[in-house]
Amino acid sequence: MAAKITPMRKQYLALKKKHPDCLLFFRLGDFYEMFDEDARIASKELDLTLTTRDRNKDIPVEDRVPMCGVPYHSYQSYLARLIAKGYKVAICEQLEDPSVAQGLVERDVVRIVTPGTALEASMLEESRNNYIASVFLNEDRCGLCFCDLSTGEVLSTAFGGEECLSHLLNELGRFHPREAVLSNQAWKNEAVTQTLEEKLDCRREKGSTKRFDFVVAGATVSRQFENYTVVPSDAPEALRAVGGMLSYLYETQKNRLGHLRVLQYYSSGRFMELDLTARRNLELTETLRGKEKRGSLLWVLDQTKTAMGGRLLRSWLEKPLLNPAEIGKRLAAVRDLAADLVAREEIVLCLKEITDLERLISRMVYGNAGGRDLVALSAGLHKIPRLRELLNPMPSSLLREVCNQLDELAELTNLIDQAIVDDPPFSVREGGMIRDGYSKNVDYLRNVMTHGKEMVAEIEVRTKESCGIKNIRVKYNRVFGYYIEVAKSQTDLVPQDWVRKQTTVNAERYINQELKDLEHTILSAKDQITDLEYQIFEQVRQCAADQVEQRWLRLTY
Amino acid sequence: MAQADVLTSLAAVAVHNHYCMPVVNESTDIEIVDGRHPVVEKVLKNTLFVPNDTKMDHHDNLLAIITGPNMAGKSTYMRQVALICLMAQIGSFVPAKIARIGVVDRVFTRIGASDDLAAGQSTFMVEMSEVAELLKNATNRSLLILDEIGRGTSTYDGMSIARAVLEFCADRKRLGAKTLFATHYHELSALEGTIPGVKNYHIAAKKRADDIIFLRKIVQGGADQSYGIEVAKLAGVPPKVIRRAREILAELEQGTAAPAVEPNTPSHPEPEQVGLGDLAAQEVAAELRQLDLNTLTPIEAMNLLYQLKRKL
Repeated sequence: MAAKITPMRKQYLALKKKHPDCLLFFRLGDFYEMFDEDARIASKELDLTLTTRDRNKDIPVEDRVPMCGVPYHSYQSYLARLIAKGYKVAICEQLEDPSVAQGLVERDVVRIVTPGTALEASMLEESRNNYIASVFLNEDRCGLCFCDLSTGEVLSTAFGGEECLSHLLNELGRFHPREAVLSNQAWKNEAVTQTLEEKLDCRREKGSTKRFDFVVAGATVSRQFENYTVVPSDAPEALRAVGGMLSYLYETQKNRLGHLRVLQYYSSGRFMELDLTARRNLELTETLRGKEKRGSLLWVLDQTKTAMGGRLLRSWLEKPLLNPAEIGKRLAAVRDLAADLVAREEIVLCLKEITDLERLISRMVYGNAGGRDLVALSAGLHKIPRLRELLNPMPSSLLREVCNQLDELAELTNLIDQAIVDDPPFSVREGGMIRDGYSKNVDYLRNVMTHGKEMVAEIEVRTKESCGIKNIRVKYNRVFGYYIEVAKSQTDLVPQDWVRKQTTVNAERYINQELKDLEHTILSAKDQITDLEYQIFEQVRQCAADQVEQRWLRLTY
Repeated sequence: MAQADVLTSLAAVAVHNHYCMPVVNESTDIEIVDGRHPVVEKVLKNTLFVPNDTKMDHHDNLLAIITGPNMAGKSTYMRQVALICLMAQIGSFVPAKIARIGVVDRVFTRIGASDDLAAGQSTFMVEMSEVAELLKNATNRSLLILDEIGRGTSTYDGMSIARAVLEFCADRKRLGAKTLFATHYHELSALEGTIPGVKNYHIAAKKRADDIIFLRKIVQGGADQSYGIEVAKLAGVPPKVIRRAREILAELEQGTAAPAVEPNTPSHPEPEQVGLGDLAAQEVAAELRQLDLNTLTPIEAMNLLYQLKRKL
């Protein structure tokens, strides 16, 4: 006989039914649990012990529901291993506070993590882009879109003609996506699937026809990108590929993707074409035998100091230019920088201080940046004015352009510097992030926590004066907290609004409102302050995200 | 910011490694003076990398046939040309004294195919499908790097394919793309002068007594000798085998069809053994008689020597 289905089991099965192709991380208290087949897969892939919740129930062993789980505070490393193996993982959270909720806690999937949509630093390689591709194919033309969710870059192109397919394979080889959303026809194309699977080790996702529908795609793309008109009208395939990509991202990220603001379109013919064979044989980014960076051309050329620069250099290497004027602009910039050793060394010093702004901004827009991220952002932005000073005198027109694009977002850095301490704790839920002097309430609460005793003493002095009672003591006991003790001889001076709590041999004990308030404040200050700090932090983070979205993302490209 | 970083990085690399600023234009010429391989020169920290010149255009220098034994540095040289073009086109300075690069629209390579062996395809099949891809997609602005085309099959097949590919690449009516063509088929050197735009090159080598030193300098003209035995010696094939190979070579060069191996008369007249020894010797002799040493690559020569020795 099958076991009786509990309400939670029902909830689980309903969610699992909605995400049949994912491993479901089902949040239960401090763990993410997996059940059934998911549990079997995860226990094998992650070396976890397979267990069950039905151990003590009167059901046959084969009917017990297998289960395994990972602790929520360290789930990232487990998640990273599953993603690296090409699994899709749906994260299901508790949407209510279990201590407040009535009955079964409401749960839902908040995000689906896939190889191409990972954002956590532990799942990304710093020096390379993490692309997800979308391929739309019809009889004789192809539309392509590549997106790096961790940096906000979105590129699209379309092409046709006799070499359509080989060009498509070359583009896939160039971007080396971790995951690809394929239209029906692309899914069925053997050359495409073989290249993705065998040569690129890329996870494939079959996209429904609706995803790539021209009308639907047009609407989604124009809603997401203000500059959607960069896609020329004779390249509808590009639009359909972008649409297919967006629909997959909305579905998995459950987020409006605010950091995807700029859509880029490139036409073939702008870059030197290199097929996978040439790329490998010439050992551009890794060696033929060891697949290592050491010994490749990238290894010789890469002296970049920031993760962003490292990724850009790699992408330049993978798409050399064809237009001599464009190449000349870069060469002139290199010449100017090569000629000025002093400026170059100082530029390097500036760059060394700058963290991975692109990925940091994405984390901020997503809402999962911490205090340290904000401080790192500000520290990076602080270097920009000096960088501009150094680059400004150089004659190269490209360096001039770079200069004009550098925006230090002074208001934002001011805000961060005023609000956040220099070395904030790792967690945003522990307090200790907000700088003294930024918020009156935080300052007050901190004062209460560190100076509680002094404040009590101060009340004692003040009350003595205002009531004219000489023998007054403010004391504390476990039964009714803080109280005022007045000698019997002076009880007739006690104000009306004091409440008598206890009588002893020589004295009466009272409480009053002021004292009760202070008591409450002292005892709850710690909880209050963490909540308040978190609220303020969220405001600052949101403000930073808004500013970055408004001013920066538009200028970056 | 990322751009500033990349440009600064390229500048630092250029200064540190003594690169020059290339001239990049719309022409179809490639001219490199004292070019070096960017990676190899980095790896060879203490030894001096020997620089080489390159001149390619759509007139007299369309296709370069490069001969010489494998260890001499043909592959390095060809990759070096491709990498210098590529570096110039990303906007980097290049490892050379002077470089003038007419923009290249695609680089094709056909160099060894050990990496696809695991996928279960035969080497020759992989090689030919790459050649097919390349001949279909190349344009006259492309740069082709072809290393040992036709090596995966029998001598005559291989040479015929190599020659046909070469003719196709050099024919301005068909492809007419700048091509570096490394081959061990010395016979192909004869094509210089008969097909316009084809030039012979080889890697200079110095022979001192029985030893060989590769100068790693590329010079015009076909190679006079294949140096296969010298390479075998460098690679550590036992001296006995080398000595024997020299004898065989000398006999072959004299054109004597005499049996290359003296039948060993065994001291013990046991009938079976005598028979076997005779048989083996005759077999070896027959094989050597058929052998055309000019068409052997060094590795093939070594394999053959190994097999012959096992038979004796």
